[in-house]
Amino acid sequence: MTAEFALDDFPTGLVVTTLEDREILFANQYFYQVSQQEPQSCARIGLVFTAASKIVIESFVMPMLLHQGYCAEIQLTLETKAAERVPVLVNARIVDDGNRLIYWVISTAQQRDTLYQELVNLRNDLELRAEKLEVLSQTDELTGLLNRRAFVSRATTLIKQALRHKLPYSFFMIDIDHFKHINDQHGHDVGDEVLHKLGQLLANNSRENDVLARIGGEEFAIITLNQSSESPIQFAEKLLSMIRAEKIQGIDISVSLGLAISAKASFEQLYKGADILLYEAKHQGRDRLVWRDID
Amino acid sequence: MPVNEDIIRRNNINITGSGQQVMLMAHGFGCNQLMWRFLTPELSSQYKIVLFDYVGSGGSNLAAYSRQKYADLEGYAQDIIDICTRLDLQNVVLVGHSVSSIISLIAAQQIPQRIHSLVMVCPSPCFLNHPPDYLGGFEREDLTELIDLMDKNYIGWAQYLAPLVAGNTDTNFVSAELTESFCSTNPITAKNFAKATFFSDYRSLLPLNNHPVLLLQSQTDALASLFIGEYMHKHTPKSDLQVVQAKGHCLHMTHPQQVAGHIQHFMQSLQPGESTV
Repeated sequence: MTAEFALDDFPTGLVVTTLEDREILFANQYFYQVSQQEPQSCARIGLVFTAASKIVIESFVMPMLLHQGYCAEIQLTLETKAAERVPVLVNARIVDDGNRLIYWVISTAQQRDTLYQELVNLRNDLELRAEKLEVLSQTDELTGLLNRRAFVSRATTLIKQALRHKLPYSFFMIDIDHFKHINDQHGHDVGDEVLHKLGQLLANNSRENDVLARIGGEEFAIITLNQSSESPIQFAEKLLSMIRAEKIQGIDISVSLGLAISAKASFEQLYKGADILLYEAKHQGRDRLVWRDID
Repeated sequence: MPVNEDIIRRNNINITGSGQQVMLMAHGFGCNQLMWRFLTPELSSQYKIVLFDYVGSGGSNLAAYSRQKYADLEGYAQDIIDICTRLDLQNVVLVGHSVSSIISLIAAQQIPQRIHSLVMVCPSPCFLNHPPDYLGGFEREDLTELIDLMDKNYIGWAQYLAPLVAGNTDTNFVSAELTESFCSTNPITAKNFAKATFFSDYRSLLPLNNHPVLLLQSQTDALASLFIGEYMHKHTPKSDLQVVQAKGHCLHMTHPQQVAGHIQHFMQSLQPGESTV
């Protein structure tokens, strides 16, 4: 260095510290200017950074320096004496002249920070939209319950979980009796209202771990692990009598219910089993439960 | 976990050293198993050393990553349990850096019969301040800022954003970037790890310990103060606190010989027989 080209004139912070506790051995004017620190009151480089930046230094910067000898373009936040926060970009490397020292270059990075903030905002916005889309793709529009696609996926997960924990599980298939008649006699808007209200009724009465969905026209399904004190048969009977007692749009409605219980069936086997049992319930005169352990 | 999933590949397990006793080394938040490379030569003549990366770090299999599982330290502890079970390790010395000390403690309490002892390098059971009794060093806002800083240090945004634009919130697209780099600020895996690490409080686990524990503390450590070392020692039964004559949070990288010396001394102090629970 010659007097003509002073390090103090560089428009970037230049600092040399010890390796272990990062004690400042040299820092140029710019570093003190940006950090608003006095050389005598700033013994260690860590003192000028925010607490979060210290975590980044200990978890990323130091391991990288120790592992590969350098680290480049790490964004940190400098906290000035006046408690202002200045985003900075840090490059550092270890120079070993028998005594390992760290050479730091610290540049302000307000514009880069703004750019990144815009990117982060965009990311957050996209994540939110993707989540909304996901919810939409899983929801039955009329009832607000899960749709068939989401039900199949959740049911498959639940069965895997049940098999892992060796728990039996139950599939309830629920179909509104004479629904075509309701539509024909009262109109489709009333039919839709019946579906909506029944969906609410089932949702209000289902238990925490039940997976409930509308899986077809007038068909609802619940899959659940048999781990509550109430047996699946008791639960099904309760649903039947509760629906029987309700009037929707002044119409008495009832449902038929096929209940398949298993400890080993696949989703397809369970679905088919419940479907056959539902058909039997219809065949036996509707407004009733037919259940079986299908194993 | 699928039965056929290969834990060795999933956790990028590497085994070195030639001793009879097994030492399983668990890296901390931010980096991967390479951070042990200064320490392993000091111990490899006496111990069989098992190194690994947590799922989501280093060269692990990202297809096995689950945002939900790895949102808590228990998820990471399960990696250690899986490794010990898969390799059928017995009499294991668990060596953990920083948050991995607590992860090791969780694992040790679940598979006590496989664990010989624990070595904790710069541990902290809770990074948050809970005044007046406990000063973890950080406020909640600091940790929120940490997440923000990690976002701003992430290289690979295009890869991350593209599937989101297509409406895909699946986590299977975690970029290949982190498999290549020593440290990672990946917005899914590393941020999840940061939250699990810095927002958690496992102080209540300490009194439940029943393995011999060596606590290695640094004289000055921005993440784990002397207060924390003393707190750990006071609340962890069967623990031995050693303050290493050094500064910083990565003692195993800066002072591998001292760290190895403390470990050897600790191991010698344990009578054979004292190890099993």
